[in-house]
Amino acid sequence: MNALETLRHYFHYSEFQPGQAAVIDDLNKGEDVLLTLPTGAGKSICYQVPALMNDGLTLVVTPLLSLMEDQVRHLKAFGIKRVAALNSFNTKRERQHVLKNLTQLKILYVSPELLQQDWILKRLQQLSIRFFVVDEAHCISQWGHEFRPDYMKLDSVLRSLKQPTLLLVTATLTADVKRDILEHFSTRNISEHLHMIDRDNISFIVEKCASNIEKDRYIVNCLSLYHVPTIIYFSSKKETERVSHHLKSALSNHRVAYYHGDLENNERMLIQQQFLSGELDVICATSAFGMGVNKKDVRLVIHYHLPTQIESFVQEVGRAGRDQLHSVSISLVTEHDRLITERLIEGEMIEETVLVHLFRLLEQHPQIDVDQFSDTHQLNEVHRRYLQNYLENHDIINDNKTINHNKLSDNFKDEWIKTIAERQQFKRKKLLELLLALNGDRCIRRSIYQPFQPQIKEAPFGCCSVCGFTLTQFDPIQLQSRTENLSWEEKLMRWIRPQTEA
Amino acid sequence: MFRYLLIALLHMIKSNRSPAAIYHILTGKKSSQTIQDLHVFQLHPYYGLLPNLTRQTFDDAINSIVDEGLMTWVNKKDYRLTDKAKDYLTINTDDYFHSLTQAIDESAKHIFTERLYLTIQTFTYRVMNERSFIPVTDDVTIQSFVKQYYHKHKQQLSGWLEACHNHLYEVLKTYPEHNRHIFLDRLSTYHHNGQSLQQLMDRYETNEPDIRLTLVLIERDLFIRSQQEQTCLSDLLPGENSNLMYPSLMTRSAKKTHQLVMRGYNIDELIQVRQLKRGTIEDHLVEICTLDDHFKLNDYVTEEKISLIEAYLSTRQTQKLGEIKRNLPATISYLDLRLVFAHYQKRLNK
Repeated sequence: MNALETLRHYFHYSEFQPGQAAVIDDLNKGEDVLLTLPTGAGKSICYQVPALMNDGLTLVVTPLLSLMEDQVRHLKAFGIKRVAALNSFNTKRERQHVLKNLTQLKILYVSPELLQQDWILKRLQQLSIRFFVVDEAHCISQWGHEFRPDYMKLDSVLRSLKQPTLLLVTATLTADVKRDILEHFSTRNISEHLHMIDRDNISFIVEKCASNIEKDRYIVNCLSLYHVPTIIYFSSKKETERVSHHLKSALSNHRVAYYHGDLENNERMLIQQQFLSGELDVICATSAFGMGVNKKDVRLVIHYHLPTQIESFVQEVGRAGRDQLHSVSISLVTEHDRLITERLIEGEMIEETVLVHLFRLLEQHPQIDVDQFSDTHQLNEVHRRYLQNYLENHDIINDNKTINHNKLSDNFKDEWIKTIAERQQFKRKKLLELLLALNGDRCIRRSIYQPFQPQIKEAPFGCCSVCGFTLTQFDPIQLQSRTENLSWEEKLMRWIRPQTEA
Repeated sequence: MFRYLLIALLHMIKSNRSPAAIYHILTGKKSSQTIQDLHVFQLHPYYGLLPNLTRQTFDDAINSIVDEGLMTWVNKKDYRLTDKAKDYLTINTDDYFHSLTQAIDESAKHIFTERLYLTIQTFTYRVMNERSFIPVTDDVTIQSFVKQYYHKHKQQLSGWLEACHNHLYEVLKTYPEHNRHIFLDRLSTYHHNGQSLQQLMDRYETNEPDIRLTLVLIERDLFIRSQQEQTCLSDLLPGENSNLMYPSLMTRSAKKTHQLVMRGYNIDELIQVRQLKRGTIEDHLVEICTLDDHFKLNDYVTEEKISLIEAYLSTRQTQKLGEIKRNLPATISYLDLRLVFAHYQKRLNK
């Protein structure tokens, strides 16, 4: 089968999207590729098709566990069963099942931290690996908005495998990030497939609100005019719940639910599936929602709170209008947004006092248990791995936790504290960049996409509120949701024996 | 429902433990203390009934029982049910707890239920000739079972679904209207995704533990029926479905100690070989004594002490070890007392 036949046979699409075929050709020729495509433009097809066409295993490194599981589910739904995911959330039984059937697989999704484990790497080294895919490749760079220390070791992982072809993928590539990525893989000869990522079918609106009450009122008004598939983004879990309840009582025809990371896995999946299949109209969600949610007809993306940088904003907005029909992004901004988001940034970083405490422990003890330390300071998994990696990379500790005291110089400590401060500074700068893009008097579309590309496309449906676009120009197809009151016998019959209905 | 269950359980443990003991039983905590409580109060059917119940939800429910004057705190840990609570239990009998009269293997029930939900989803999609759907469970072992099961039945999907429909009809008929709807709304089938707990709570204006309990009781009922008689769902039971509940209840560490106990090691040898603290080994011994019918009590406690303690136990109603200890000679250690007590309870329950 050639590439197009593979696409048709497995994915039931008739044609490639712009850009896909060229990448697949290069990969099939064994050329390394750096790829940017806008969110929703089918990045994953670019490696899934070659993976299915060629012998050997395709390894996909991705930092986002939910994305990993979504991809696996998605492929299985297409009837492609020779795929699996390895991550730290697998149960022991599941992981054994995957490792036992490794030679049967075509595509294996794996989290970067599992690639650090020798015994897993050894298993992979025995296999013939055709493609090595790094998803969210911006994580390699310190200047990427989601820097992952584990990504810094991917080059050596890649070299230990039998030279597979490399594909680096991201939707958000700034100049700084690109330089870091190419430097990290400097031994490879990488051809660039960089596409414009701006979405010309989305119009941008920024609405200044004085308070949350005003935001609530705006949304109720907007949704009563536009009954369309909608995602509303929040930075607080509590607020997703509050606004979801509010909308439910204010808009009786809309089917509304909320979604955030504290819900059990199974519950999250049900909500996601309902939204995908059109059983829900409006989702109030934190940024946990949307990765891998490939719903074509999302018409409205509303930001109740702003994310912490333009990259996230671009990704979240990019969930609208994947069917290329006119869609709208609305950002509700208030004066104190900046404070809320700054607090978020502080929460994302390790505080200096924690480091000072760590230094004291390191000086006083022969050994340190980073897990235990992280528990006592309530650090999350990313922070824990950051500490562990930093200490290992600087030879302060080795595998058996023993501390190398003579490396623990004042210089080392000062450097580390400085690094953290710089990182904070960097995050603040990113936030400011987003706030300026949305609050300035320049074209919003231009301000948002400029960090990633010099030019932007014409917007056929209207550009942004600065350029004169207003909501009245938005005329989408409206939903007609109906609620039925079925008796339990009817439900049982209809749901368990659907064939008798038809 | 959940409120009734809690009050009934508080009544059953008769103020001998703090309410937290009930929480550990319902969530299936694998600790020596909880497993002993199961035996002492005969609460096996409730073990692991609500594995996902949060401590917050549990505490909230207890607090509201206190607020309504059904229970009072004697001190921080001890409570007393009021007469109002006793009246409540006699007036409100809940008929739908009938699947709670027997203990079941919770892990087998879990596998059975997951298989059931995925089979229903798969078969309803396939009977409508649709291949593409997102499975309700990510567990690959469940998926591979259903895949094989599907291949065995792909010629008779319609027939299987009809039998399943009829079976569910018969079972659901025995529940109140409200419970039937909750169970059905939760199912993911062809072009109908299951409702989340939150959505069920909103739709039926009830709380989370009641929804969980409603689902669990029907699932349990289906499980038990499929074990006891041949139903269309019996094929979904996990293979070696045995009554080996007791060994599986033992904590993993205690199992290792158990091996050595069977070979006649004494306490000091156990500490030495297992490299564990004395307190841990003592906990293991009590657990083993509770769960293993072949445990030789007099390997660890002298006959003389055993008869002394048993004599006291037979005259008293209390289950509080502290109180018993104070009334017995100082030569009798806590371990002596705990072992004899566990042994005594075991025989009492036989």
